[in-house]
Amino acid sequence: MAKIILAVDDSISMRQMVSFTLKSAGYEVVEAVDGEDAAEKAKMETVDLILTDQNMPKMDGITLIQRLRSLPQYVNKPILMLTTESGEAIKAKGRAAGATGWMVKPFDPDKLLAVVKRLIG
Amino acid sequence: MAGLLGLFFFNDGVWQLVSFGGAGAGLASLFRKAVDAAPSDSVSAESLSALLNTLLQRLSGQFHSLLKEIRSDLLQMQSLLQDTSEKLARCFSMLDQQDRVHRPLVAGLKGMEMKPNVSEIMTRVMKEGAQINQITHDDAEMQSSVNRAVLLLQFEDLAAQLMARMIDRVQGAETTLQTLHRAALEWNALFQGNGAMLPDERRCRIMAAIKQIESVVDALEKRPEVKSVLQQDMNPGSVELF
Repeated sequence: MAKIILAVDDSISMRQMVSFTLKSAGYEVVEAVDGEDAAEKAKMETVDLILTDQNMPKMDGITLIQRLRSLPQYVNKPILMLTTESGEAIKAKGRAAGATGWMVKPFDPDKLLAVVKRLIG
Repeated sequence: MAGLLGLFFFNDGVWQLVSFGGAGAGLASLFRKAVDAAPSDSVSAESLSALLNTLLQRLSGQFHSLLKEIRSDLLQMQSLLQDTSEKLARCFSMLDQQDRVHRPLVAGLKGMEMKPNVSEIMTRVMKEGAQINQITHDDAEMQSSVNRAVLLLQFEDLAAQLMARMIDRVQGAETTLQTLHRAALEWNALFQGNGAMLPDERRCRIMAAIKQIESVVDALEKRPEVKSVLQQDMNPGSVELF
C-alpha cells in the first residue's frame, strides 16, 4: 500500500511541484492550503509523513508541528519543513517544536525523494 | 489646500518640501508660520525648530530605507527571474531536442504495431538498436530536465513572497503619506481663518500635529525586519535532518 504524505503549502505551484515529484515516485499525496487545513486533514486521516511550509495564512508551519505533536498518532511521525526561511534562529525554533528536518526552497526533486525514502521508505 | 505629499530635502540649513504634484506648500513657510504662532512662554521657536528638524530627518531617513528595501526586493526579483528564464529556456530546449530525436523512432514503432509481424519487428529493432540505446540514454537526460523544470517552476512561490513584501512596503509608504497629508491639512487649518483661535488652543493643535507626524515616524522606525526570502538564484536549497 502506498505511503501517504501530507503536503502543506499556501502556494498552488509549490503544492503542484511537490505532488508531482512524490506521486511520480509512487507516494499518495494529500494537499493542504495552510496549517489549519492541514491540522484538520491530519486528524481525519493518519498520514505517514508531513511536509510543510512555514509562512502561511491562518496557521504557520511551526504552530502546525506543535499542534500535531500533541496528538498521539503524530508523536513519532516525520515532519519536514520546506520553506524559503534558512535562518538559524527559525530552524532552532522548528527543531524545538518537533520538526524532523529542514529543507530550504527551491527543492531538488531527487534530494526530496531521497530524504522521504530515508524517513518512510 | 495644496497637498503636503512630497519629498523633504535639506537645503541651506532648512528642511524643504518638494511636492510630487508641484503644488505643495513649502514646509519652510509653514514652519515660519508655526514659529510665529507658537507662544514664546511655552514652546520656544528654537525648541520647535529642533523638534521639527529631528522629526523630518528621521522621516526622510525612514523613507530612504523603505525605498532602498523596495529597490533591493526588485533587484532580487529581477535576478531570480533572469536566472529562472535562462535555465528554463535551456530545459525546454533540451526536452525539444530529445523529442525531435525520439519522434521518428516512435512513429516507426507505431507503424510496426499496425503490422504485427515478428520478423519485421526484429529486423527493425536490430536496425534501430542504436536509436534505442540513444532513447535509454535520453530518458535519463529527460528525467533530469524534468527535475530541473520542477526546481525552476518553484520560482513562482519565491516571486509571490517577494511581491507580497513589496506590496506591504508600498502600502506602508502610502499610509504614511496619507497620515502626513492629514497632518498637513490640520497644520494649514491653523493658519487659515482661525484668527479667533486662542494662543493656547493654537499651541495645542500645533503640538498635536507634530505628535501625529512623530507617531508616523515611530511606526516606520519600529517596522519589523522581514527576511523570509534571501534566495538570489534558483539553485537548490539546503537539506538538514535533525
